[in-house]
Amino acid sequence: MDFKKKLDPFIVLPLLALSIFGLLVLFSVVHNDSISIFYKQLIWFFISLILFVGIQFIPIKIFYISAYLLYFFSISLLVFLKVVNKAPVERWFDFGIAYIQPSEFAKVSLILTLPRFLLSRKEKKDSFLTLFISYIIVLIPFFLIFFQPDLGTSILFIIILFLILYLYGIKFINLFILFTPILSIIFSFFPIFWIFYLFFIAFVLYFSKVDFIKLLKVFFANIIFGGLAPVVWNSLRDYQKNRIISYLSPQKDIHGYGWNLLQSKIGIGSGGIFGKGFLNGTQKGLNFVPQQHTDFIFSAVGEEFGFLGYLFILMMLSIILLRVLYNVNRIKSKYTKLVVYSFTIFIIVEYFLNISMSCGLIPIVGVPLPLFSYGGSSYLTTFIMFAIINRGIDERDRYW
Amino acid sequence: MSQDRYTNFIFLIVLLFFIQVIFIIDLQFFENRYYKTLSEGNSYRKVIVPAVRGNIISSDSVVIATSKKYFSLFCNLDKFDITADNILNISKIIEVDPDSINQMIGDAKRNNEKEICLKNNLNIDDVTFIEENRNHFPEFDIRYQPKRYYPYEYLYSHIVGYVGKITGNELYELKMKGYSISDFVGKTGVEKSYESFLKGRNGIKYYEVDVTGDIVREVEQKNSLKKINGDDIFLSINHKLQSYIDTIFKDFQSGTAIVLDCQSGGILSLYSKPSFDPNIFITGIRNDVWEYLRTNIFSPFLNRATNGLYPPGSVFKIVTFLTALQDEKADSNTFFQPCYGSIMISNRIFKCWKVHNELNLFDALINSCDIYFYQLGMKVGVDAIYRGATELGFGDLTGVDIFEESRGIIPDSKFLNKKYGKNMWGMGQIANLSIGQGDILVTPIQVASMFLIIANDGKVIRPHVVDSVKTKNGEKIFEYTKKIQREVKFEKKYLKLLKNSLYNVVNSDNGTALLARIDKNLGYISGKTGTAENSSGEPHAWFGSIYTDNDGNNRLVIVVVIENGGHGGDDPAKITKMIVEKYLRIKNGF
Repeated sequence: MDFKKKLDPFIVLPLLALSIFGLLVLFSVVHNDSISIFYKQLIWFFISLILFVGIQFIPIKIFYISAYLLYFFSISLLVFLKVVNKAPVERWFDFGIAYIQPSEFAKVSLILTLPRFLLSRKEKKDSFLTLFISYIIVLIPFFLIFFQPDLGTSILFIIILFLILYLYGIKFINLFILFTPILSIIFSFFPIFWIFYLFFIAFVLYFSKVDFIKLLKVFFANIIFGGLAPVVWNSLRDYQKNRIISYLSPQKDIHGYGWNLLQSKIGIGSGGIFGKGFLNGTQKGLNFVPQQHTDFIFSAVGEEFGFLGYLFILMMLSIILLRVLYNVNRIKSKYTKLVVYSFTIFIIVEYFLNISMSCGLIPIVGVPLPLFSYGGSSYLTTFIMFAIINRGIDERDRYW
Repeated sequence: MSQDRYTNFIFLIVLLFFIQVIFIIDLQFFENRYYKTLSEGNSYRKVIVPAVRGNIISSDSVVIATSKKYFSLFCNLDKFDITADNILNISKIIEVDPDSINQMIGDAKRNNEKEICLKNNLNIDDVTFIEENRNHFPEFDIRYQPKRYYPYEYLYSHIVGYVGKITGNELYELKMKGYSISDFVGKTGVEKSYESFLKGRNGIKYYEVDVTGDIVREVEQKNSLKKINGDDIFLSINHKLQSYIDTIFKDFQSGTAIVLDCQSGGILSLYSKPSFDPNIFITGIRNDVWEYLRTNIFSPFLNRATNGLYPPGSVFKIVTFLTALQDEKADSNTFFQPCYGSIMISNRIFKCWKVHNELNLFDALINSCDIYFYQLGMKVGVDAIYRGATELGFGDLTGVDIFEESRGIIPDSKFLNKKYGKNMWGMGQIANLSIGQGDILVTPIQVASMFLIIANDGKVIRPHVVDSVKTKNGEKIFEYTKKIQREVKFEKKYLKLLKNSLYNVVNSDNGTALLARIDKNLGYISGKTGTAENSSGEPHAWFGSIYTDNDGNNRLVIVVVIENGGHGGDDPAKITKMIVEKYLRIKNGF
């Protein structure tokens, strides 16, 4: 077996370019205060590389077969974490030398599991049961992570659900129906709008010729979700509430989460077209942007490498996306196809969300910038996804 | 179908990133300059290094105004969320009136300043409290800085004056000279008149700071400035004499004393009672204490020596006397209706304080006979007295280098016409004026200046408190040089006659100031008493005098005013004698 041929240069080279760029930026951020963070990330990089190569020897079918197993394994990890950890924020397993964040692996296992379930119900793909079980599959890890609490990651699970259902080919009206309860959650805080909203749902469903029983079910779901939302809101931690509130009025609380956003914007904005140059940023040192090595690392990219640095990331992502798009329709296995494409889009969405929140386009939700943000689990899972993408494209002719 | 969805999904991704690209282009291209300034402001902090104010030192090398280090609390307005609640919170912590914080913030905003000094004398408990809760107060910065300190408290407040926080209006004018909102400026006295020497120049330093505002290191910038400390001021004031006068005045409620050096015009002592402690303007003053000081009937803030307006009483007879001689309206053989204790002028009875019988011009001055001077004044005329008085400096500033000075009032016929209406005033007013009563107000420093002119045979010398200014390196950059401003028009012989009479006021047995007589071996004092009737009760007691030493050189001019002190020949004359004796003791090294 010629291993060289198995590596797609249009996937691997952009991946390496982004990783090295990411390591440089991380070095710049932490080199003054806590260089050990950089070394840890460097070790994760090499572990990830080995894992990447290792995965090239595993056929996608193995993932297909073990998908449920992986899913249950990651769920039990999350439950286990819930049980053993007594800290107020329980995202990590402390293994002494490193922290493992089970929610990151749950993302991968979910993207492996959901397509398998959907494909097993090919004949009834738009049936209520299919959609209901899909929802359940996603909501279990969603709630486990939501109450960790980790708002950003749990939102990603909802995105995964709709992404995969959409790509799988669920009817638009069903996607709409599935999405309505989520909007209900938001509207339930404004009761008058919520009532209008319920009328709007009825209106759309009536003209889509949905039968009456289904309409009732949708209504019921909406009322449940809308009714529970305020209860859930009150169970949120203060810092989570603050994050959401901070988006609504970022200038108000200069030292809270608005502070992060402002400092991040200052970093990006002051970088200009060409940036201040490698190691020349002044906003860093983990002090101005307290989470700069994790969620807000893009502010360092923007400050030191400017618009060109941002364009470079976009170019690498475009190369990967175009390469996947070029190959994905040739993949014979439907499962592989769905998984490969979902992974690709998912990574790009993570980039989009992180960069958008760093520059204030969307609320601050704790989504890492893949390959840039410090954190072994996130780093590893990103490489696992890329490994599966590469492997999937490599075995595109295999039919099973 | 799902195939199309794969491709269609790209449009959504492209659209999302398109929005993002526009957003980032806006940040990095169009708002670049704005964020760049924010970023610089973030990481560099401009710190004003206040220049240490110059010392003020007496002629006997006693430091009477210096600097002492206090903990000052600064507040960075960029980091401070200005809301009523926050201001109230802070005001509670540091015990500062919230209104004054509001005022400071307003002044700072108008002058584009980013930092205000909330409190100058933070006590150690507050310092510890704020430092321990550093995270809660990222806007605060505590600096250990030199501030004005007056070791002798109230003793020199009317000479040296005081410094106070710069006001918004002052800052607007002084900004070009490098003043900042947390600076102090001289408000009165030498502190004000020599502000430009004392102040020095503030330095500007730039520090790289982290997010909590903690300084990482100092950085050189093109706007960095080294501070230049203020220059030291050397006064002609003698500390021993000033403190001695303070002990004499223990027995009196209010009054003033001025001691001038005859040769140079340098003020050896300038005392005004009551007084105040100028340190309160630095350390902050409780509102009720301020209110008490401000509304006190004895006006502790009034510098009686230069700003106190009194009728001069009989001291003014000197002016009438000189004018009469100069205008040849009288000589040694001029006699009027003798003094029987009272006289009728314009249908009103004018009294004398004693029955003197017949006196000539000189004896009338020595005995201070009012009856004689009423008649002399009427003969000389109001406008002539006015001319004589202005010639001797009344009605005008003496030019002493303490700027809080009043002109006083010397009436002429125009003034009286205006006040009473044409032809509505008459001999009564003139008679009163000729003995220094009625529509006349003078300051003690003006009287001192008049005696200085007499002592110097008509040469006008400006009284002053500052002898020289030296930089911190000891380089003399200013020195008072004696300059004769002008010479009065009175002929020398008349001045001599006057001096002779003033000698007799003290030294002849029928003089009015026998209490001022000193031992013959020490020289002699010649002067004039005054007992100024006024509306506030007992008359103000005046004694103005010249001390001449054994060699016949005029040494000192001394003016003492005791408010409501009765007869000028009593306490003021006694005090004058004590001052002269003390002066001689100091001179001989005691």
